[in-house]
Amino acid sequence: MGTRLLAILAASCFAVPAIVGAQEPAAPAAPASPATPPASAATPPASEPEGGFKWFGNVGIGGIYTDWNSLNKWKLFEYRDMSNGVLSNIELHGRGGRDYVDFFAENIGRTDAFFDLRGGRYNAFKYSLYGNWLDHALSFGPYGGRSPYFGVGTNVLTTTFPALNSFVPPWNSFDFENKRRVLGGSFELSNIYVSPWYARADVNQIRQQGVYPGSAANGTSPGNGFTDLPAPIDYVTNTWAVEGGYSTRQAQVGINFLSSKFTNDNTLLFWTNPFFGGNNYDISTLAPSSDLWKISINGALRQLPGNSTLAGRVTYSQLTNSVGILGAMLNTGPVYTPTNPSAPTFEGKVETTSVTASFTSNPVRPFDYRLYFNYYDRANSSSTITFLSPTLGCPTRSDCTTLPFSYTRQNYGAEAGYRFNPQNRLSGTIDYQHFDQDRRDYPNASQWTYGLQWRNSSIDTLGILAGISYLQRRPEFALANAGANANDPLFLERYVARYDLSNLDQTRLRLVLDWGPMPFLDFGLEAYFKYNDFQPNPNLAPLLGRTKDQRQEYYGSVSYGDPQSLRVTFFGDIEWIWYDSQHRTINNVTGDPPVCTAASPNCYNPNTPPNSGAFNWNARNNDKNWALGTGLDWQALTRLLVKGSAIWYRTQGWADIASQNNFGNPMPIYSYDTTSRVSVNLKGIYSYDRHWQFTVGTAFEQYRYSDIAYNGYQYTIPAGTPPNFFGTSYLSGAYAFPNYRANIWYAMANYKFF
Amino acid sequence: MGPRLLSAVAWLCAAAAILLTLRAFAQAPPQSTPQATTTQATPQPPDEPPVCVKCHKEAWEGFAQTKHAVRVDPRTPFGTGRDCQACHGDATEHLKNPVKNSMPQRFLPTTLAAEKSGVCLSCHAGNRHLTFWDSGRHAVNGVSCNNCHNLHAPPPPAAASALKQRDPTVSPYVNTIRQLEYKTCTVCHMQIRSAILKPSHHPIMEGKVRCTDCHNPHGALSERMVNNESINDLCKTCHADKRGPYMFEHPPVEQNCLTCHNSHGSAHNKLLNEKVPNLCQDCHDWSRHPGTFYSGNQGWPPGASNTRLIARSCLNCHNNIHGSNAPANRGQFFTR
Repeated sequence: MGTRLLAILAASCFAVPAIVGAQEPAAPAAPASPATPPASAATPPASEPEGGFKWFGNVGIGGIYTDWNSLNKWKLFEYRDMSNGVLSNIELHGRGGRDYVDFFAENIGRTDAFFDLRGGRYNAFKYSLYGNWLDHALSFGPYGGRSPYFGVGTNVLTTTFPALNSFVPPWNSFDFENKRRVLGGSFELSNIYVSPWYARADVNQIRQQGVYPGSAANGTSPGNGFTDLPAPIDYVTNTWAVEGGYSTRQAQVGINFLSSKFTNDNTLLFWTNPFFGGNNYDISTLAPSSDLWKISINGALRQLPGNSTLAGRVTYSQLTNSVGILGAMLNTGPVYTPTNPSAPTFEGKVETTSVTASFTSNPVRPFDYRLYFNYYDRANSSSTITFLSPTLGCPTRSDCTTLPFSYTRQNYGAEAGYRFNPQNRLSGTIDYQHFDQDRRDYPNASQWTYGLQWRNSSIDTLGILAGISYLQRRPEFALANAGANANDPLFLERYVARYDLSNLDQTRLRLVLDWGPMPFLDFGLEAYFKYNDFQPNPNLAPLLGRTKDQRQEYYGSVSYGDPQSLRVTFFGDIEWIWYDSQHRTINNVTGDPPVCTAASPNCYNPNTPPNSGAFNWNARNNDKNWALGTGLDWQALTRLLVKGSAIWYRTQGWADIASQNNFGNPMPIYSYDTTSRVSVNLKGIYSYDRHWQFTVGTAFEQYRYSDIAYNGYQYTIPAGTPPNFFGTSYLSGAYAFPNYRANIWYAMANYKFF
Repeated sequence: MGPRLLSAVAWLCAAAAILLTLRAFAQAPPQSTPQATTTQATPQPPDEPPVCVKCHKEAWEGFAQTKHAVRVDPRTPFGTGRDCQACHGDATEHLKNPVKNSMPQRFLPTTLAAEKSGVCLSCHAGNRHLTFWDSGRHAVNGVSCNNCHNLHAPPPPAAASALKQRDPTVSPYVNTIRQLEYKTCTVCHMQIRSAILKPSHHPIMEGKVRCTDCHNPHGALSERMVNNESINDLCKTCHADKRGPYMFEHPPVEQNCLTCHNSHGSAHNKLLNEKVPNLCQDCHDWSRHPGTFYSGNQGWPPGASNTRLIARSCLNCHNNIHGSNAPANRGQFFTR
């Protein structure tokens, strides 16, 4: 809080010296333009306020009171400071003969404070300073933030396990939240003396502090349980950039250099592990610090022959870090097992290069086209580390040499449009993309997209946009011969088609209507349909993974009225999304790597007749979302403006699961992120006179959440045998109990001065 | 002294300092009837408005507070002396007979977008943020400057220029009085209005993330007019903790954040496209738990409390899903 206040006051101080010192003489009259326009009845001289800087603005102060009812208020407070207290805002403008300044601040002293200062000298330079605070609430104690650990907020979490009763010490409550502060500024020099050259500098700092819900597997098997870990956030990202360029109506070129340093004061988290015994420390890694620099060159050439423009951009960036590799990890025993890395330090280095060009042309009036090219390369030359530690799975099962991931994307495309008349345009697009990546399954993929779009505004009051596109992606599949035989676990990889790069046929349709049949009446409609049909790897059915998905959404709105007196708006939206997928359950395996037992021979071939230990299953994940909303702006009286808003939003999720021969007896999931939210907001703004304005408002919100993963939430899942209960899972309440109901009242008094 | 009281005292000191300083420069209030409006300040217009004001007073009152009306800046319409004619064309014939003779340049819905934008670009084409206007989707799709910008309205707080907001605001209670960009963008991009209302969303409605933090409406060479060369480079400008480099990487994470996430809004936590574990199982199939289904009888009691389904599901154990610097199989499987 103190930091927010100091920052806002510091920014205000930039304005105060300007206020005190800005006693400027009258500037000379503006020069006449070369093409003398017809004389107006009164041609004004150059405007120059008498007596120097002219100030006007607005100061507001008020309060907010929230009466909330919730076990865990995090969803109410997620991105807003809803705590009872003072609301405030300041708006300040200064205008002088040569200079100007604008300042705005709101919610001073609150966790969602904001300020913006911008100013400059006309036709000379401009500057800005800004600050934006956000307390991202993730979960609040004592129900949504509870842990048996001491040291929450630090990178050392200690306790004595077992701790099965979450309502007695050592369990304690705390808040999960990410306190985010953004401060930044810019300065740009651009005036008639250096024009068309310009120079610009930007600085920015993002600071994040708090605690976020981490977790970790306790042991080496899913059956060993897990533990929620309140992990510390102490990040700072400092970014600065300088840019210089040349900019005219015909040509622009700019060179930008950026440097960004991300610092995390806690890159390791030490925590008492409840599984291995002895209450020893285990270690989790957190986000590593890193350095990034980037150079960009942008340019455009306009007014080329054929009414054409050529634009391009080249960038190069380098991201580096250096991370010490842990020499030992807690393991069964309990012992600290050496990891034996091939080097003590991981040297991370990722370089990206991009080249983009676009040529747009309108050679004859009804015809226009655009050609474009994009190239993006991510080259990961980080050090390659090999681990030699059999008891940590190297090289028994895992690929124990790191695989720096690189990829390249090339994209070529063309778009052409024809205007049948000025309001009627038909366009077509053809786009080709090719990906090369360090992936075992799909080392490369090619993708074609064809599109048609029709835009029509022939009728004055009606605008139509209709589009269809078809995408076809075909990758090279490198695992067609994976695995020696169907008892080899690698054999399954032949059938797994990872949807981000697998064979895909996609169809998309879009329709947008904007209709204003009479003054002050507007209708809007947007319809969207997308269907993804994923194909098996060539000659290798069935596909394991996502097979199909579909999304369709329909949004409609109607608005009526004169904004100067009364205007109302209604909207409705409905959306259906589903994902189909197919998988294989394989449990009758033994050894490491796990090979099929005699009870399930050829278990890794999904075409093998099913048995209770190896069978296929499929699922459909469904989301259905509705929204209804209305808004009102009503100039009820000359001095009274009423604003209202009401929203009802519902999401409904569920999953249907079926298996071969109903093995495993899968049951549907009826509640998968099912929510409803009601928000009502009403306020009146009364202008008492030219100076004073009063606002009074009230709001109501209710949020309900139901999900199989959180309904009936508990803080411990006991496992293992007394007295140690090794294998018990310990939870923190993160994201649990988000339901709330709140009544909010607020008021504000504003004073305008000029 | 408690923190709230300290905050209030500090605010009062700041307000007092500003008010005392301004008191020396206070001007007489303008002669206008008080209208109930939002809490925007109302400055003095330039001393002598153009003749156009005799009929177009309403258009003038807001315009006079914009940078376009600054006479001392020789780049502006009023700095050049052309006044309203700088955008609307030669007024000679219109002044002779305003009813019969329209202004040469009008900004009607039926006017070609390129023609309307061309008026603005006649001065602003050299602005650095318009470098890629011709290549952007808005120019191609017939969106003109005045579709979004309201040139005759004073800039709202913390904004360089006023944006058009056609309809009343429909949103939950928020603590900001600023005019937020999404209210303009969602007039055309209607689905986005619905998306940002979903339970998991970027704080766009709350005024903490702007559309222009990710997109450049003035044109960009990247897909979807994003501000960076790739989606991942864009996301990591704010989420720098995800940029690594990591010893053990998760390739789909490094290639495209949108493989798993929806940037505008989702019914699922963390803006995920699909519910976990199903999202993970769409790529990961293997013996034992990766390929096992988790169904309706495995939630909390009376269900089986399966740790692969309850709470954060796969992420309960595989927490470092964006990459890990842990050694051996601890990093390979993102469990540390």
